Amino acid sequence: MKRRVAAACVALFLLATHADAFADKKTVADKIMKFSEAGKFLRVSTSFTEIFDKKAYDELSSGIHTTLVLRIFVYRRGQESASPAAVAVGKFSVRYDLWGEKYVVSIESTHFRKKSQYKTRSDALKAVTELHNLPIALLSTIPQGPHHFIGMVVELNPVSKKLLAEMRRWLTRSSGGVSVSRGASFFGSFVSVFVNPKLPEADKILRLRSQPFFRVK
Amino acid sequence: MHMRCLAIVLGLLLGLAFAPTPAAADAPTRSATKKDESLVLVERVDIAGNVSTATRLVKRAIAIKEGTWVRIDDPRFRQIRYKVLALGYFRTVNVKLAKGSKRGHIIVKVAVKERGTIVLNHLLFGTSRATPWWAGIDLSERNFIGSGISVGGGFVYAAEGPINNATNQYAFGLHIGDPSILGSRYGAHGRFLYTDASEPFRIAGELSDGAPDNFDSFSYTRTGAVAGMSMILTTLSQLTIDARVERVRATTPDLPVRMRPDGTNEAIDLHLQPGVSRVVTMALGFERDTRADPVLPYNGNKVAVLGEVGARWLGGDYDFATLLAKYQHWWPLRSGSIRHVLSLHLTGGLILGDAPRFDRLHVADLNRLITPRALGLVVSTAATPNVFNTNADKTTYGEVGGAFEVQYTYRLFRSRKHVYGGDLFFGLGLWALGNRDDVRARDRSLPRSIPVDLLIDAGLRLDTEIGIFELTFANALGRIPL
Repeated sequence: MKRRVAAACVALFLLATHADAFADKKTVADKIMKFSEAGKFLRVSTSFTEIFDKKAYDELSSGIHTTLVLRIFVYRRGQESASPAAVAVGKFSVRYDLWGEKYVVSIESTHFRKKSQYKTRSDALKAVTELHNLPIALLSTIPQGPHHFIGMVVELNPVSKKLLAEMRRWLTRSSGGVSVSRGASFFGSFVSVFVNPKLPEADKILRLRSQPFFRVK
Repeated sequence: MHMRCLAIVLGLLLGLAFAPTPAAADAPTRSATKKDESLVLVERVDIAGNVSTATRLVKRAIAIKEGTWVRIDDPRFRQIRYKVLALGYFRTVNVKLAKGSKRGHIIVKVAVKERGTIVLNHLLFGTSRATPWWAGIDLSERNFIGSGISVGGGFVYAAEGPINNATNQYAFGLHIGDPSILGSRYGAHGRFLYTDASEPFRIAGELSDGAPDNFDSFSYTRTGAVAGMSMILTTLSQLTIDARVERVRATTPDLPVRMRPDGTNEAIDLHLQPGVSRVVTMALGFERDTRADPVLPYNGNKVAVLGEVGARWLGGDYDFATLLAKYQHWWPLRSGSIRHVLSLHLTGGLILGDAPRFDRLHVADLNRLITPRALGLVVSTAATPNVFNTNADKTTYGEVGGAFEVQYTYRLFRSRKHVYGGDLFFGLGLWALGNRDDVRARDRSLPRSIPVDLLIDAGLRLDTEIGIFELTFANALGRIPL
């Protein structure tokens, strides 16, 4: 019970902090996904291996944990601007155990939780980028008949907005100048030009949309 | 007495500098959790790829120190990349862990690729009826010989204009700064400046007439230095303490007067002592910035306050005090969307006493439609636009002033390529500038005694890899003769 409450709290937090991610209408890729019903859940099977490029794939062996954050929204077709019918979030992570020489994978989602270990990097990659009948919504929230589709946002190693803000601010300060000083810098409406490397909010972000589906009696 | 106050302030600053940081207090100890296998000892931190940047600078930025026990899933491992990137010295940063000399010991390996660290702070150029052309540049090297210290300089030259007694003007400055001395929350900075100015002052004509014929010029030079310290109070706020000493040599006319349009004469105070004088000041500044993105902001606020005192008891020839304050706040217009943003900008200043001319509030400090001073040099005599028909009272330098502006910003795009983002904005507000005498001895109501006028601006802000650019209506207006 406590775990469910904790999972719900994590889900609410992730949703609150990332609510505008799918609504931003950035590049969304269409993807054929498989849907099934088992127990009281609607389940999805799909993969998003393409989120890993060579560098990210190599980093799986770095010893530092790699994290994928998933947000899955079930929308009723034609009502995309309304609130989603159901929402699920997940946090998948991989860490290479330097001494055990194995990949430790942890999967936590709204309706599912699993820990496993793999000998090879490719197996670990599959474990975190291929969904097999992952429960995403209670069937009671998806009515039979009308078409639905799911939108999925996958972030690789997301960075908290707080950390990003701190880094960006430090960058504006670290020119050695004084921001609180007399002259144009005080009255100026804007900061001056400085070295400005973009600190990304995640290593990579994928936005996927499934084909429409509907439940039958 | 003053030395004692200074000693107390320095003592407080040093005390705070060596106070334990929250991160250090939270670090797990081996003895407390001996059986916890997720704990590892960071045996070494190896830095590779840094050719001109000192290794200690990179190590300072890393929160996990050599010889400490940490959990293997500590989020600070993942943050190393961002902390090192935020130094601004590197194009790429890769981090990985390697086995240490025995089980449970690890080596953190950080591989960096350096980037150019020469920065363009300002480009100064334009033309006006009073100055045929001016041009200048301000550059910094942010990582001087790999030390993390910023060294830079600026120079501007303004050609002699058609104003009586005008000569060529030029100014240059050198600045040096370390934002974090030995990785502490303290920074130190210093500036040296030299200015050879030929400043116009009005001798005839309506205040709305900016024709050079209505002006005369007088010359002065400024040679000075500023030294100060900054202290990061919290992640969001910092304090700055500055001391400034300047030597001013002014060649002022014996009796500067302005002939009013009605034929009467008015004595003019140029606010500089003839001959050689000294300006000595102490300043204290505070800034708090809660914006998530300080470049193209969409939420949060920024507060900045600066107080400066110049006094004979400090060794100067001018007794004065200035108080400047700025408050800005950004709100997304719709919850869950940051495409439309409204912002409020309040700026105010108060000058008390006999402040030198260049330390007074200049009209261009408050009204962006006027050509701003270039490294302190006045390069234009253009009058302010007179929308509310209060031009008869407008002044170039004032003691009390402020601006109130509301801006609407529309997020055009965000990208991961060389141009990171662009925002369109439109701002509307009011500005006012006057002298305290205008309020004290007045022949009209109080609101009419401080002239108020319209502030308007619109344009595009671009956040790019090499810096931030503002392509705005006001910016363009300040660079062309009108």
